[in-house]
Amino acid sequence: MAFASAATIPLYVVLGAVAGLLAVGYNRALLGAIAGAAHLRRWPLELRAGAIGAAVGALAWFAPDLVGGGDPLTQRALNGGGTLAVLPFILLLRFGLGAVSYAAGTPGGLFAPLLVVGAQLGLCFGLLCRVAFPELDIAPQGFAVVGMAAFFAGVVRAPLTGITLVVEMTANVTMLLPMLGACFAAMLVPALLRNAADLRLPARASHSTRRHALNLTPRSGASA
Amino acid sequence: MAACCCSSLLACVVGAGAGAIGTLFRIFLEHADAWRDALIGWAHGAPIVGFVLVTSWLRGRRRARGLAWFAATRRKRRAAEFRTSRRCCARTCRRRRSSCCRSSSSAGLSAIGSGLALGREGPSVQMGAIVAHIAGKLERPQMAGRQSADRGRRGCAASRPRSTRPPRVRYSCWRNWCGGSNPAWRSPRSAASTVRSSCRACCTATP
Repeated sequence: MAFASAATIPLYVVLGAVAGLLAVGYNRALLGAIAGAAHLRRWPLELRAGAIGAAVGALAWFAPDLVGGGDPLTQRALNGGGTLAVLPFILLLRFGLGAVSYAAGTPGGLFAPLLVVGAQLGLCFGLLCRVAFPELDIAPQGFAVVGMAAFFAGVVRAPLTGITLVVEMTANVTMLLPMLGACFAAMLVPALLRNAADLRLPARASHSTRRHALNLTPRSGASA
Repeated sequence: MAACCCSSLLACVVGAGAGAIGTLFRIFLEHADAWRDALIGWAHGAPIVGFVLVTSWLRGRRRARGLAWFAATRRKRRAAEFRTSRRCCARTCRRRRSSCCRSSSSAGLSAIGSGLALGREGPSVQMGAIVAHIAGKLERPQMAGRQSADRGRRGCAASRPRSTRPPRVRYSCWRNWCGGSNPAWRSPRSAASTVRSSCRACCTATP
């Protein structure tokens, strides 16, 4: 992947801001899903799990590629596969599926779904930019890489971890400068909106919600 | 000096163990994904029989997810949940850590393999922490709580590159999350060296 030209750097910063906005929504969706699951405490565990299982199973019947950890989706986005007609649909679907899956309370990590959503967002934004600015010779794959790091930084508020993670997973160091700018914007937007980090939000949630949420807070200097 | 060498050696052992378990977990997950995709594909090819099968399969998925949920919330609440803090089960789950490890892996396998949008890094981190704590207890049964916690963090860090393959992420990530109350991570020279050796062993022990 080639280095980003100077003319495209502002677009990466805008992508970071968009990722920051989406990260705020993702944090709220996560908390909302956890609170919703807590409200259904009167239901038997098996019934709640069955409801989520039925929803995911129905989705798997119609679109088997969209369920699961999402590694193939990320790989496809990094290869530039996808069109503007499909990507927003995948983005929204994975956005909701990630929150619902997180609220299910079953074992599993949060990072991989974040990277999937970030890659879809970045690729979608890159394709839009290529349509809007045809003279800039934009590579949408670069936006997918930067989108992963920016969305991760916006949700987890750990920009160095996000950048290192994406650089090592993609073996690509040419996008470091755009990543730094995008992660800065992705951190700035939630801070301006006074949205606490995902790892801290549960501390302000209700007691029943808090019991189901992360109870580790990042270091005092690690988040905005 | 001897203690430092012993600690480094133990870190390598922990890294290798975490790497082996993480690799097995990854392989099983790939098989689970393949089986899921194959079943969906076959069911689409045979509409009537496929419909009946997928209906029962969905029930089976519900049961599998219900089992995972049950394991996560009832049986091994501290061990089996994916929440990041639950990797501290190595510190808080005082008995039967091997069963914690089994519960974490089986529940993670059934939940992630059944199609939920979750990553494999959560259970991997838990299993790494449990391996590290078991190794630490074998080496020094009367180990202090802080040392035990440090060793668990090294296991967490070592298991992480197995799940997502970025070995250098380990340190910044776990410094972010674990460094709040531990002085060792504020002056991290010794901790970094043991984590580094542990992660190196984790990445080289398995393909």
